[in-house]
Amino acid sequence: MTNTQEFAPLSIAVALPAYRRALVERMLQRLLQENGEMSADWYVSHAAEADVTLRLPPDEGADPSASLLAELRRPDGGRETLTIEWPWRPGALLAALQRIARLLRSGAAGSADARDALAWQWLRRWSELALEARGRLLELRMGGQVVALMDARLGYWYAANQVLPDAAQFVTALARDSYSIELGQATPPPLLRPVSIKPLLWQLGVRSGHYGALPALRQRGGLRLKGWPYLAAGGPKAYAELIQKLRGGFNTAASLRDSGLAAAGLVDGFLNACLVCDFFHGETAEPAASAPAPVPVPAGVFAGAQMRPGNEQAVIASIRRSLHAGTP
Amino acid sequence: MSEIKLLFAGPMGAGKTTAIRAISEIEPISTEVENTDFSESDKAETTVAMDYGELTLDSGDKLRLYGSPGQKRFEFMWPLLAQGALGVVVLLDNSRPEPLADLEDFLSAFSGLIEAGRVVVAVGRLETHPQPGLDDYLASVSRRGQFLPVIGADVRRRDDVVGMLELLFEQIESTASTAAAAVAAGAAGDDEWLQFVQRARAQ
Amino acid sequence: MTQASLNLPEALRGALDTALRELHQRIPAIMGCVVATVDGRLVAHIIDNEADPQRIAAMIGSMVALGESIGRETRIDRSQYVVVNASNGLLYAQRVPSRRELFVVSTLARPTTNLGLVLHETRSAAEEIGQAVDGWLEQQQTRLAAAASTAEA
Ligand SMILES: Nc1nc2c(ncn2[C@@H]2O[C@H](COP(=O)(O)OP(=O)(O)OP(=O)(O)O)[C@@H](O)[C@H]2O)c(=O)[nH]1
Ligand SMILES: [Mg+2]
Repeated sequence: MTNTQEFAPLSIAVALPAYRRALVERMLQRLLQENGEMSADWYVSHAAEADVTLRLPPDEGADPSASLLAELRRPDGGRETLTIEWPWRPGALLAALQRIARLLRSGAAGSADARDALAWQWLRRWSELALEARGRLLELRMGGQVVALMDARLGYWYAANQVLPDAAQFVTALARDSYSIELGQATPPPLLRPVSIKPLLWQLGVRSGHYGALPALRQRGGLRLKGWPYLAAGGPKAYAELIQKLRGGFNTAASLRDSGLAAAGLVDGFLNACLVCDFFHGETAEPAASAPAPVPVPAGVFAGAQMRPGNEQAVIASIRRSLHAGTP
Repeated sequence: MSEIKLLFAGPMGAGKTTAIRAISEIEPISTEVENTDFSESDKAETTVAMDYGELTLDSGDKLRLYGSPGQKRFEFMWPLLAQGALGVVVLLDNSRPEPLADLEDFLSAFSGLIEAGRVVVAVGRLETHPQPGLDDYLASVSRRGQFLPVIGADVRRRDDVVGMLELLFEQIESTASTAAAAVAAGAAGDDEWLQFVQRARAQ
Repeated sequence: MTQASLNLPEALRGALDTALRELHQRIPAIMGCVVATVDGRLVAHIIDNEADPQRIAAMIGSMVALGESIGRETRIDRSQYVVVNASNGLLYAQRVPSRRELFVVSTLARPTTNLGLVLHETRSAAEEIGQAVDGWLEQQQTRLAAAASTAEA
C-alpha cells in the first residue's frame, strides 16, 4: 500500500493513435483490475480534459515501443508533463501511475497544502482500517520500515522512541518517504509504553479539512457529539459554536457546512478530527444504551469520587431517566 | 452505595440556588441570609452554608443536590461539599466584573476533580454580556493544562440545567472508558489520565 | 477577595468594640471573640491564638445559618445558638438580636471554662450590640425621613 489514497479517483485519458490507444487502454484496465487499491485511485476516461492525459512524444512517430508523455493537470490548474519509459511493461506503468498520483495529490513542491492532502489520505486509510482491525494493531511503515504500531480502538501509538510525533513533522515525513498502513499483529509490542495518538489524530483531522469530509463521515447519518472534544480547546471560536450545534438537533457534515458557522474547510477539519478521535456517538445507538461495559479503572482516576465505576454507570443511567421523566 | 450527590459551585449570584430549584423535587433547604456586601452582588439574599435539594431515582436511591456558597471567604465549604460527589457543575456569571478570575478560583479549588473528568463549567448571561466569550474561557482552561467542557447556559431554564448534567455524565463516562482502556492496554499507573492530558496539552 | 471586613459608621463601631472588649474581660479562659455579618464578613475581633479571624467570621456565618436551617427542618423552631464542644476548647455562636438581624457574635474559650458562663456573657454582649444596632438603624431611619422631607419641601 503506497500513499496514493485519494479523495476522488483520478481520471486518465489516452490520446494516442488508434492502434496504440487500444493497447494502452487495455493495459490500464488490466492493471486496475489486478491491483485493487489502484482501482480506487484511477479510472479510464474518454473525456477531453482528464487529470492525466497520455500522449506520444512529438518526435516518436509510429514506434510502438516509444515512451509516453503523461500530461498532468494539477488541482491548482497548473500543468506538468512527465515521461513514462517502457510503458508496455506493466510494472513500469504501475510505478508511473503511483508516482503521478502522489504528485497530483501531495504536490511535488511539498507545499503546506499538499501536506494537508497527505493528512487527509492518511486519516482515510486510518479510519478504514480502524473499522476492519478487530483487535489487531495497525502497522505504520515509512520508507519501507515499520516505524510504529497503532491501536485504533484504544487510540494508542507504540514507537521505539515512545514519543508521539508532532503533526507538522509527521506530514513532512509522510511527504518525504512513502508510507503504508496495514493490519498487523494483535498483541501490543513488549516494553513499549503506549502513548495516546489522539493529539496527533486531532491535528491531522484539522489539517485535512480543506480536502473535505472523510468518507467515513459522509457515510454517517446524523452526527452527535459524545462528551466534549477537549482537544478543541484553544482552537478557533467557531469550534465552540460547532460543539453547541453538534450537541443539539440533527446535523450532518453537509448541513454543518451549509450552516455558515465557519468556512467549509474549517468545518470539515473539525468534523474529521472529531471522527478520528472518536468524539461521535455510534450511528444508531442512543447514548444511554451505548454505555460501555463495566471495566476496571485505575484508582487515581476516581480520586474525587467514592463510587465504583460499574455502580456509577447504573447510577448515571438512573439519574438520566429521572431527569427526563421530570421534564414538564 | 452510601451517597449519590452532585455539587453546584460558582461565584455569588451565578445561579446555584436557582439551578437546584430547577431540578429538585423537594422545596430546597437553603441557608439564605441577608446580603450585606453589595460590592459583590445587589441580590437581597445569599447562601452562606449550602443549598440542598433532592431527586428520587427509579432505583429508590436519592440524588442529593448541593449548592455551595459563592464568596471566596466561604471556600472552606467547597471541598466539604464536593467530597464524594459524582461531579461538580461550576456556574459562572459573565456579567460579573472579572469572570475569568472567578474561573481561575474554581479551577484551582476543584483541580483534583477536573483531572478525573468530573467538572463542567456553564457560563450565564452571555446574551447580555458576550465578553469574554466561551473561547476565552477555554483558553484560560487550557493555559492551566486542564481540560473541561465550557458551555453557555441559563439556569432559569430547566432544560439548560439538565443539559449541563448530561454533559457532565458524558464526560464522566468518556473518562472512565479511556481510563479503562489504559488498564486494558497495560498502561497502568495512577496518573495515566493526568499524563494523557498533559501530553495532549503539550501538542 | 482582598478584604472581607466591614467598615462601620464610627458610633456603631465604638459601641461594638466596647462590648467586645468587655466580653473578653468577663470570661476567664477566653481565647477570642468575633463579630461578623450574617453573610460571614468580619466586623470586629479579639483573637488570642493564631486562628484567622476572616476565616472564623465566614465559618460562623455558615454555622449559624446552618443551625437555623436545621431548626426549621426538624421543626424544633428557631435556633438560639450553636455550640462546638471540642476536646481543646469550645466555640459558641449566636445571632445579634436586633430589628434587622445583620450580625452574629461568637466566643472561643478553653475547656476549663464553664459553658453556662460563656453562654450567659456572650448573650448579654449580643444584647448590648443589638441595642447599638437598633439605635443606629433608628438614626438612619430618621435621617432618611429628614432627607425625604427636605426633598419634598
Ligand atoms: N437575566 C439573567 N438572569 C439570570 C441568569 N442566570 C441566573 N439569573 C438570575 O440570577 C439570580 C441568581 O441567583 P441565585 O440562584 O440565588 O444565585 P447563587 O449562585 O445561589 O448565589 P449565592 O448563593 O449568593 O452565591 C437569579 O435571580 C436568577 O434568576 C441569566 O442567564 N440571565
Ligand atoms: Mg445561592
